[in-house]
Amino acid sequence: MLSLNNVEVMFNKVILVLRGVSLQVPPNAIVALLGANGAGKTTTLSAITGLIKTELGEVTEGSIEFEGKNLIKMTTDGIAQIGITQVLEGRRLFAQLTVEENLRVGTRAKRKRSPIKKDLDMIYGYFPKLRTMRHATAGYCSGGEQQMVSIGRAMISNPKMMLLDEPSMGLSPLLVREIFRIIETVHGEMATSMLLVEQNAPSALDIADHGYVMENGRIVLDGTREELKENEDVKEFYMGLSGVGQKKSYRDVKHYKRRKRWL
Amino acid sequence: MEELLQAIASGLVVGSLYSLVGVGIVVIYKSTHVFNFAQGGLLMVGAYLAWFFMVRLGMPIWIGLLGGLACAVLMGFLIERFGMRRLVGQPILSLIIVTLALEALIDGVVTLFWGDREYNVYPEFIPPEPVEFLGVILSLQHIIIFIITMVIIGIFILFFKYSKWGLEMRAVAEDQQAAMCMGISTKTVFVIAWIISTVLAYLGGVLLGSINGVSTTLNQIAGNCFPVVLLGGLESIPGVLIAGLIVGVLEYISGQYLDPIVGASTRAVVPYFILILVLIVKPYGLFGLKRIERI
Repeated sequence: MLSLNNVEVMFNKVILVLRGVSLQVPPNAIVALLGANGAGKTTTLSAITGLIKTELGEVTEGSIEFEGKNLIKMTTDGIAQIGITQVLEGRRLFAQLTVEENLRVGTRAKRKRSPIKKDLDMIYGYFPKLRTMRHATAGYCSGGEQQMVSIGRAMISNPKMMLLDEPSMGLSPLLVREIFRIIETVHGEMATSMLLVEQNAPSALDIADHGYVMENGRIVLDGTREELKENEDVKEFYMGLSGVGQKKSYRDVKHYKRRKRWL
Repeated sequence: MEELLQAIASGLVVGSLYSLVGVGIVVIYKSTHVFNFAQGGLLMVGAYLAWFFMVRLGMPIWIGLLGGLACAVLMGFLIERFGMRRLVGQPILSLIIVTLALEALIDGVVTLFWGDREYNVYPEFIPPEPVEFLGVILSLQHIIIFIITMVIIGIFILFFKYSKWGLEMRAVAEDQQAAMCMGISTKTVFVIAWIISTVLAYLGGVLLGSINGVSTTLNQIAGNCFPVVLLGGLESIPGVLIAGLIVGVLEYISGQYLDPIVGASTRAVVPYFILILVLIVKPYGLFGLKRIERI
C-alpha cells in the first residue's frame, strides 16, 4: 500500500538525514518504526507527507509510493486528501480552538460525504471523554486529552492510513495503555493502516504486526512482531531486558560495541 | 449636550470605518501572522479606482463600483501570489517589511498617476439628506454608511466563528504544519485572506471617500486603523469593532472640546494616546488572545 524505496532525505542541501530507507506498509496493518532520538523516524514520516519541504528538506533519491501514486511531487494537503493523515509529534493542537472545532478542522480531508454530526459522534464513540469537554479550549486540556483530540482529528476523515508520531510522548503509563488500546480498536474497526513511530518499544510491539528499527538514518533491522520481540538486541536496547536471572556485568552495559555491528 | 451627541454620532460613523478597514488587517494577521502595513495604501488605491471608473471613465455608478471591486480582488490575489507566497517559510519580519514596501509603492504609483493634492468627489450614490434623530442632525449618508459597516463586520464575526472556511483560517493561523496534515491548503487560505483584506480596504476607501472626498490624505486617515487594531487585540474582530468606535468617538470629542483649549488639532494624537494607556494595562489589547503555554 505504502512503500518507500531507498529514500534519501537532505536538509538545506547539505545535511543527509535519511540514507536509503526502505519500508513497506501493507494494507490493513500496523507497522512500528522504532529507534532512538535522532534516528530519523520523524523525518521518515515527514518525507512521506511532504512536510520536510516546509523545513527546507527534500527527497534527493528513491521513491515514495502510495497505491501507485508518487507522493514526492505532491503537496502535504494533497496527500492528506488522498487519505494519509499524520498525527504530529507533540500533539500540536490548534490551542485557541475548542475541542470540537479541532475535530471539525479534520473533516477537510474527507473523501466521502457524510453529515458532520455523524463524524463527531464516531469520534466521541471512541473517546467518550471528549464529548463531555467538547466546548473546552483545546490548549487548556490535559496531555492525554490533547493526544485524544490529536488522534481524533486525524481519524475523523476516515483516512486509509494514519502516521502516528509518538502518541505515548509525555503520558502516564496508564494513559499510554489507553491510547494504544484505542489505536488498536480504530485499526480493527475502520481497517486503517497505521505507521507507528515510537520510542516506547514494548507498547508499540504489542500492537504492531511488523516492525522496523532505525539508527542513524538507516533501517538496521526489521521483522515481524515475534521476531523482533525475540531478538536479543531489541530486547536489550529497546525493551531494557537482559537475560533473565543473569547477573549484569559492566560488559553488557557497554552497548556501543554491539551497536557497531549494525552500522 | 447637543454638541456632545453630535460629536459622538460623527465619531461612531468614522469609527465604524476604522473598524471595517481594521478587520482587513485582523483577517490577514489571524491567518498568516503578518501585520499588513499596506492597508492604508490599499484603501487609498481602492478609493481612487472607484473614482477612476465612475468619474474619469464616466461609467454608471454601480458598474464603476463593481469594476473597482474586481480590481481589489485582483490586487489581493496578485499581492499574495507574487509577493507573499515566495516568502513563505521566511522570518515573519521579512513579510512585514514587504507590506511596508508595498505601502510605499502604492503611495508612489497613486501620486504618479492621479497627482498629489488633487481633491476629487464621487458622484452622489448615497443620498446626503439631513435627518434629525434625538435632536442631532445627521446626514442620511452617514447613517447608511454606519449600517453597511456594521452589517459587513457582523458577517465576518459569524464567518470566523461558524463557517468551515473561517474555522480553517483560524487553524492555519495557529499551526500551519498541523493544518496541512489535516488536508487544508494553506495557499488557498492565504489568497482568501488577502482578497478579503483588499476588498475591505476598497469598501472602506469608497465609503470614506464618499464622506471626505478622494485624495491622498485618505492614506493618513487610514493610518488611524493601526492603533485601532492594536487596541482591539490584533486577533479579535469584535475587539476591532469596539476599538474602532472608541477611537472614532474620542477623536471627535477631543476635536470638540480639547482643540479650543490646546489651540491646535488634537485628533491625530488622541488615538495613539489611548493606545499607549490601554497597552500599559492590557498588553494583549482589549480582546487579544492570550498565549496558551503548557508548563
